[in-house]
Amino acid sequence: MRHGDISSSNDTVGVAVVNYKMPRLHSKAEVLDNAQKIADMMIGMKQGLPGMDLVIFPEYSTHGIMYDAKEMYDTASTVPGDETRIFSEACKKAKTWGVFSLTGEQHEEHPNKAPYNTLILINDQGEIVQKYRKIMPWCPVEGWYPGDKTYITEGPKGMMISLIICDDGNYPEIWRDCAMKGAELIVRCQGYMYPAKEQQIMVSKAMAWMNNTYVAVANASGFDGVYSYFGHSAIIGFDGHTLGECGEEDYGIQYAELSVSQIRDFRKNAQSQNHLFKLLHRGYTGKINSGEEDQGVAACPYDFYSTWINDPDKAREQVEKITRKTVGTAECPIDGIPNEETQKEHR
Amino acid sequence: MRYTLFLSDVQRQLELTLLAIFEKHFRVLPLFGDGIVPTICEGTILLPEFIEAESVQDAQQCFLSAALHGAAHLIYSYPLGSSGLNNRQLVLISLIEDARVEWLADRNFPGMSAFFHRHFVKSPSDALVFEEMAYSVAYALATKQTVFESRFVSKAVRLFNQAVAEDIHNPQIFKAIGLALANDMGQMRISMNEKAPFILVPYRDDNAYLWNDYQETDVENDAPLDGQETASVTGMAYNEILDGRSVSEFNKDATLEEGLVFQAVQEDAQSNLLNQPQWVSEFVYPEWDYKIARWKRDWCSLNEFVFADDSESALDHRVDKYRYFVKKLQQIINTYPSQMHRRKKQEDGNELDLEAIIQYRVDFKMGCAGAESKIYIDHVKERHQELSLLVLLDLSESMNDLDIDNENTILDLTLDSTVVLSELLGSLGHSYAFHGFNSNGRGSVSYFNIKDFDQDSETSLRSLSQVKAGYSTRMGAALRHAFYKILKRRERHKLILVITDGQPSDMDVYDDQYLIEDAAIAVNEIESSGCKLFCLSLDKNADRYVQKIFRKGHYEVVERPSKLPLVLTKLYLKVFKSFLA
Repeated sequence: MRHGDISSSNDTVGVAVVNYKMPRLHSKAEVLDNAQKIADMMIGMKQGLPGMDLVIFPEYSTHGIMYDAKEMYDTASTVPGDETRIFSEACKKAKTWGVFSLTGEQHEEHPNKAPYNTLILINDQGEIVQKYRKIMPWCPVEGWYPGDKTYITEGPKGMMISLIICDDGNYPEIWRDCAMKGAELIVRCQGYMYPAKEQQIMVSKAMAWMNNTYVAVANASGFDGVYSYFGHSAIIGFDGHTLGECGEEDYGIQYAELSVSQIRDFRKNAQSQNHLFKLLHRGYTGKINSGEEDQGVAACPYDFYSTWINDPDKAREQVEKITRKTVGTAECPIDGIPNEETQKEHR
Repeated sequence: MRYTLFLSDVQRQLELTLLAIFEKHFRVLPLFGDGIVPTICEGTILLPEFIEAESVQDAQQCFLSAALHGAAHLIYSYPLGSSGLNNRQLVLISLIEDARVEWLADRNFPGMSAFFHRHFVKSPSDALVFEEMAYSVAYALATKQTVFESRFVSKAVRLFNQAVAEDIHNPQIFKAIGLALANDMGQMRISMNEKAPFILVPYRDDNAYLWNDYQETDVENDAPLDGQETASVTGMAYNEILDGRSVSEFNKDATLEEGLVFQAVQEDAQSNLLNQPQWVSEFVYPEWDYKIARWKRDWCSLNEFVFADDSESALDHRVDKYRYFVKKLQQIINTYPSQMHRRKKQEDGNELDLEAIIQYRVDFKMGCAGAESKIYIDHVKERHQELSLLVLLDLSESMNDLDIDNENTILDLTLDSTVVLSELLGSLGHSYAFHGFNSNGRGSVSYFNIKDFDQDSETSLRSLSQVKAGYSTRMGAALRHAFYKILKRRERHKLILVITDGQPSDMDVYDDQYLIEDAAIAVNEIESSGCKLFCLSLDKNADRYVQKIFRKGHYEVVERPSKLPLVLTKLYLKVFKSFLA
């Protein structure tokens, strides 16, 4: 893996991340104009970064945040749809793969159910090859319908790619789920705002390290009238070192070449920090020393996970004992979200 | 030679065609009668029972075009609300909306416009007549051709193209075009013949969907089928249940088969039935989400129940309590002047009917036999049978609160009032019904049929002792069902009287405004059909929300629930009369 050049090779995937300025849009026409702007930017970038195999735009980059519920429903996209057609054309023209945000994507029962917060991966033939719906919407602010699955797709030059979105990345489970499915590059698109800047920079690096995976983060920049977005789009190596990181500038771009052979070599030959291998071969030295099996222990030792899978309600009950029972809190109430003082009763 | 093609011969084919094109299931159902215009309601396209044409192929094309046009509305349109709009505006907004949905359909399915163009066989004329000008606009928008120079048509086309470029998905922009065109026609002093139905091209629906006018589809099968007492087979219920599969999860014991709901019979059903209201049928209704300005389709699951007959004592107790009061009331009402009703074209009367005389003379000159004897206007008293009244009682938990004036619950006082009103209405010969509702989330709205229009009042009101209050107040769904019930009545005046003691609320709704807004939309839908609504609120703090839901002058806040029987009577004497005039 290397950083600093504009090229790529048969072994390296050229990845670019963009600090896209958070747009503030209100109508479908404005969204389509903005999608065209993204498409144009992608084509321009390819001219400057001839090695670019994959370009990643942040969460909310296509639609912006629709703070008005009606606008959010009015502009919710379909996949495929008008927006994806624009992106597909650009991917074909630039001969580059792209990750694009759709906030939101119409629910199958639209408008009865809330839209999803979706990312799509389009290949250099213009085909949609992955559609991921955010599993952990940023409650209580975001109102997206939660997704329920991660995916893995063979990307440019055979690199295995998973998509995750923003707040998803604060939960170690999703990184592990993607990595264990075989992801070599986990793409985290964000519309992350102050104050949690340092925490977000840190967590992506930590997760790259803990899951032996490349991470590419694309974050929004600018101020949309409500939040201020801190940018810092970055590309991180599987050893947790940052290869390149933007500042807070609008439309900042970082670029690095990620070696396919190096990460595979690491996962095959690394020992003490091969976290993926060791999690399922736990304590193999002790087991060998004890004259037991030489593969270590495969079983999950963590009570929480077995409870969660076998009895989710019980797991929820346990967490409520150490947190609270209502989704809202009376000390900082939010309209429309019940708290311990606004529990409903029949009237 | 004319060929007749029945819808039943192509019904399935049309449904499958729509499914293949739009990837969405639509019901295609027949409408019976002559001169039927297609109409649509949630998930359903209603077409004439048969079509006559020059060839079978032409008739097929007509069915297909009508089905495609209806489906396009159901996908791309949403109800706009007709409040404050006159017929000319409604027609022109509808015309533009028709063009918008056909434009969208053609964009998503290139070539589809050909199915619509072929029906514009008549060339537009330059006559300054409303119907001709409207047709010219529709013709130009559908065929993208103009036969003659017209500033009016050119303006319509220019505004339409601008709106397409601006935001084709926003019907409000297109509504503004319709209003602008209606204004232009008004400026030109061109009026619309409101006596004759306006049909632009036969394949297009009546656009009642846009204006929230409910259409009853087929009530011939209103009675339960033999051996299937729990089956729901009325026209509306049939459609709603079929289209409401998404909410069938709420009724987990029910199975769904071609529109019929079969309920598993429990072992202890016999004893339970003696004490519990009996389930009749299930309906689903949409709900309006004001925040996203959209309908949530098939959102509320409503179960209708009837009560079993009960002993006489309960009714006697309430009747005895108010016997003197009721008798006094009847005496007052007997002295009350009745509304006079003017009837034209009568054989006898104290006023000449000039229109009838002119018509007679015209017929006579043309050599036709005229009804020369029917040239008078008479004045008769308003017949009581002209009124159909549905009293809708809120039966939510708050009805169990004690009234501050005495030890009775508000429910007790409401039921007392029910008896008083029943005695009153019965003695006056009105057609009336007492229904109640409560809810436990959108999947469980209960609607209790305490006394239906055709039921004997004494027998029905004996069941009052079984009426219990509990749960919450999802008013919009209950109002829609009450409207569905009263819509079947033939009486000229229809009135729904809502008696409630609190604002709409439910366990699964956390936005206080949401159910208020939905109830307001339900009231608007109902009133736009000509049915009247009045609300008596027993909540002293009701002003905040009741004036949002009901129009000014169409509600009253009762400060002391103990006075409800008296208030109801006064309401009848003072308000109902002017209300129905």
